[in-house]
Amino acid sequence: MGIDASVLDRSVGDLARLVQSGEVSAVEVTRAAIDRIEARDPALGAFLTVQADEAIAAARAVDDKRARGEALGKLAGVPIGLKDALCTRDAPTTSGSKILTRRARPGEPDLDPARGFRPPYDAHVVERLRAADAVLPGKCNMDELAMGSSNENSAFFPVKNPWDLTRAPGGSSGGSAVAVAAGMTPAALGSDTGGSIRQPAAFTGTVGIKPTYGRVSRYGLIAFASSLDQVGSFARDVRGAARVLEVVAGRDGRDATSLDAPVDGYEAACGRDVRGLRVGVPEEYFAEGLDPAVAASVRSAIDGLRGLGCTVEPVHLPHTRYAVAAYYVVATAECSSNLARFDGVRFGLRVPGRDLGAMYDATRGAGFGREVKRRILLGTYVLSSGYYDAYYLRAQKVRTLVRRDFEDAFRSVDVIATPVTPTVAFPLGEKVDDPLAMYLADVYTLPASLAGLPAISVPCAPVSPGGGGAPLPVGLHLVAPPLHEARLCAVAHAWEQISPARGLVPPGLP
Amino acid sequence: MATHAGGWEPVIGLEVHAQLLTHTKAFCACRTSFGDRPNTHTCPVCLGLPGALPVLNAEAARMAVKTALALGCTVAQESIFARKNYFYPDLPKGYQISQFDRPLAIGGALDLEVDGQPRRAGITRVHMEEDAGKNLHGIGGESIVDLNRAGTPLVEIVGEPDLRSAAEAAEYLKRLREILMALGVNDGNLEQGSFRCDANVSIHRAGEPFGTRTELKNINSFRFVADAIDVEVRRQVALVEAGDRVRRQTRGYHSDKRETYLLRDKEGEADYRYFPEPDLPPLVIDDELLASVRASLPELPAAARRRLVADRGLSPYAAGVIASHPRVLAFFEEALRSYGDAVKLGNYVQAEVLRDAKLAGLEATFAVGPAHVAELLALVDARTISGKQAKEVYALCAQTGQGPAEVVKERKMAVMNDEGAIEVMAGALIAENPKQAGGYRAGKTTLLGFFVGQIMKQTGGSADPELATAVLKRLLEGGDAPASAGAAPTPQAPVVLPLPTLLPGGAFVASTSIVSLPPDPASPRVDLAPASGAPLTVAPSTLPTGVSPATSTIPFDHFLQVDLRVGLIVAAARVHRKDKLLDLKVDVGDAEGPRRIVAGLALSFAPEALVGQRVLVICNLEPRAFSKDLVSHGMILAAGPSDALALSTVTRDVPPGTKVK
Repeated sequence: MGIDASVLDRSVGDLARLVQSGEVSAVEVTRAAIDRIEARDPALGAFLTVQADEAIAAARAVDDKRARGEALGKLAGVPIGLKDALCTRDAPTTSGSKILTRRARPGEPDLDPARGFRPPYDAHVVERLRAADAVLPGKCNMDELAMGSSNENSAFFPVKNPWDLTRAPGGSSGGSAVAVAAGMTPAALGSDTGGSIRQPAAFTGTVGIKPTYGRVSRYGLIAFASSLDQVGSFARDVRGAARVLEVVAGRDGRDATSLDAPVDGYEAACGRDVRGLRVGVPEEYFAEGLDPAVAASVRSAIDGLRGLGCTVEPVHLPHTRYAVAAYYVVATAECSSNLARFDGVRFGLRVPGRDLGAMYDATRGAGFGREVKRRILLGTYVLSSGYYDAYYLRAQKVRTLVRRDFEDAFRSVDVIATPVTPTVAFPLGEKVDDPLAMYLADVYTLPASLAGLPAISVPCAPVSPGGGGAPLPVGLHLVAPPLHEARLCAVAHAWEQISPARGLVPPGLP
Repeated sequence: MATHAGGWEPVIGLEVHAQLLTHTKAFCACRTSFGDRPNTHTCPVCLGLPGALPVLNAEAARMAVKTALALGCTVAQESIFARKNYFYPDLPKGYQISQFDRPLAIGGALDLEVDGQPRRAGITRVHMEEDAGKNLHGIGGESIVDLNRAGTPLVEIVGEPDLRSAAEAAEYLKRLREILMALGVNDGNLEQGSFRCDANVSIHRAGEPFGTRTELKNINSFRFVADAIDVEVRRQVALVEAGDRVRRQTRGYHSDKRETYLLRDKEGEADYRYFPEPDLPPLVIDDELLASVRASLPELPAAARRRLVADRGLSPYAAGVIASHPRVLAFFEEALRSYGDAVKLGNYVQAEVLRDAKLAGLEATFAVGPAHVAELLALVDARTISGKQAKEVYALCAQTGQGPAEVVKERKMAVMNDEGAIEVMAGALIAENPKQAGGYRAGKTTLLGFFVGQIMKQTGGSADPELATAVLKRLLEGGDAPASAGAAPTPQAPVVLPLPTLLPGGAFVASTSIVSLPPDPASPRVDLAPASGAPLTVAPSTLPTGVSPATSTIPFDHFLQVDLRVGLIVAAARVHRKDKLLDLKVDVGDAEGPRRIVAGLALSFAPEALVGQRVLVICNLEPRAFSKDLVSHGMILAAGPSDALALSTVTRDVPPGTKVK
């Protein structure tokens, strides 16, 4: 007992080695994580529910396994936060929505994620983490049903950015990002549909990887937009994110879109020489709307890559400007259908009505938040007969064009470097009433999502926000061709070693 | 073609949903089942739980491809699954995974026969989809949902509007159903809903465009399909004739009231918002898979029908009935292996076997198995039992599970239909009962019943009553002497014995005889009677009652009339399509060489086993023609049940032709 909680600040790999060698026990690490969550999270709101007892039990099992002389997995004793969109067997899973909570009984608070739906099964990635001897202390807050870019759409409470508690951590995987940024868990899983890992990673100064579509099984990830959703990892460094991704990636027969391709050594790619690698810079990403300070930080990171021996050349992604529109057609269309199963019949919230239709109306009316309803309406509209061709079909065509842009660009470069976000973390409340402004927060991450490409956000030089104040994190966005996650890890890791953001942690954490 | 008043002609297209007989559901590993406890065959996928994803069942795809190929469709190399979105409690995901603008297969046809005329109805498309669960209403005032069926794979077969009458629609459904059943992809069960039909119905006048159509939903029996369509056509004709118009509606059918009723108006119908299912990649059917499915196609009912008619000589009707169910066809083929007369067998299966067969979907339970049916027909062919008795034997077989021969033996049912023997008995009876005979001849024809009764009594009920009646009538009306006897032969002259079959009350014995002797009132006709298991001895139980024991013995010279010799079987062969008969060459010492004897020994002996055997042969029986080219010139003595006969023989090698004395 009573080890220094700073053990949590060790890298994922170091921590696993310490547990594997027995220098620290998994139980000790897990207790440290739970203690930190108790100490730090009340101010941050990164966790919706904490499964302390279950996590300790799992940690004990890892220690027992070691005691029996069995080899431990790659994530031995490493506490990993899970976005609440990932199903955990018998543990509350809400996807940040009231619709997945049982109705309050008299005396119960109206909203309580602990009343969340308890799935009878683990998501594929959760199974993989458990099999690698990871410990799962809790479920991370998120924008409701993964829809949002600030985490203010959580049905329960917003997540705060540890760098500045008045600012948004990004979304929708804001809770996962903050769990890592604030040192509560060394790594976390999130999901990224249009930027939901990369944007919060950028806003919180963490590393976030969204792998190739199909690289990680979606089985057990509560769907937002099926053709875009992808599970990915957060960590404080590239190696950590790479190791976690390596554990969860790979073919799963329960997801028909899961790719049957070998999983490269992502962690092993960290440290690989990047000399001669060609970095493409699309000028379309450095146009109007990009905060000049963020632009400067990203350009300086690109210069840094040049300094590491990469060649830098301009590329063109001419259909970038249509990506936001196409994304919001495709994603909302799919979500309008995906969310139909939340009907009050089999699980989650049911608000009674005088007949079936009234029950549906009351349940969905009470269970979904404004943003979710907005997207269901939008998606229903674009799929309506008479509008399908003009919207959905057209958006799919744009999607093809966006993908071709990347294919063309990757003929001459190995990775593409862009900003992750147009600005640093924005103040909470700033965009809540302006959905379009909120949608534009993802303008740089959406194209890679539409094209199904792997992408990473890695911290570069922090910059002060427009109104002045302490510097805030900025992310360098690297995009690679399909299944080239290892290349992303290599380039991101090389940059990370010389990044001015290296070793920076949010100030003032208890 | 059914034209209605005002020249209106119905235009009908059918949509059939057929559950595929896969072991597991379309998109998860849950078992497909019917009638189990609610919600016991469910998992996160078919419950539509958050995060669950569908994975296509390859077996379902194979069956769907099979269906498409059997209907002559072109199978798409790449087809796309689509979501059909609507809310209903039995639809867990809030959408049904189906196929929409890129279905599995298009452009097939179904061959029909309507009023004896061949017709071809087009198949628009065949696509795959999943079934919904079931809502059960009003249980304790609540509606409950059973999701066992949710996710069961279906093929939807959409027909062109090529049908022009309710009868054609019913024919289309029958043909389609039997194809699916022959393929083994569907159990054809309308009542349980594994084969469901919606009908699109409109009317028009010849040469004019089709009218507005209505859709009749979920009609769950063949009869109702035809009825519902008829009723709907009449409703539409009446509407239009009254100057109104047909509205685009979905309608149901009340079979009791014989009327269709509005379910919902299609003009304001829900928009299903179809779009490609993002959770499933395109379904790719490559040439290899296509070829392997094509190679696995069984004989289809139409081909089986043609074959049964052309190769087996069955009537088109019998062939149609037999080919319409794969298990019935298999039954027929199986029985045909041990019974050669396909036509008789076909008729029997069609008329008798199917009468009490239980057909439940692809399952079929037959009261009597194919081997026993074959055996039964052989018994009738051998005249061991009458056709009428066959029914009784069949019923007993069904009841007891015994084989027909066993039943016949145990119940001593073998028919006594030897005209000669009956004549002997009849002659004796007339002689013994001159009063009754006189009365009959004097016009008291009801006395015939007395004589028939006596014969039935004497034979333990086994005599063929019609034959007995005919013989008695002939003897009573034709004078004292039986017509067949002709002039009384001299006792010394060998008598040509009429063809024997079985003894009264005896077991089925393949080759035994009753010797018919000329009537002689002073010396009543007697049987030289090999009885069950005891050749040449009359079993006491079979003694005609009212006849003195003395009459059960025969004078020695009668015995001498029987030309009984030792024979050596020199050749033996099976007889085509007569599975009980063997065609033998037997050396009985004739100067002309071995003679031909056809004997019912095939169920007991392989032909090759008989060659070289010495047997006892009655050589002066009148020849019996089994067919034009199959004439027997003698009889071999044997005893036992038909499938386990023992040959009579001699204990050491006596030369062929040696007289038995």
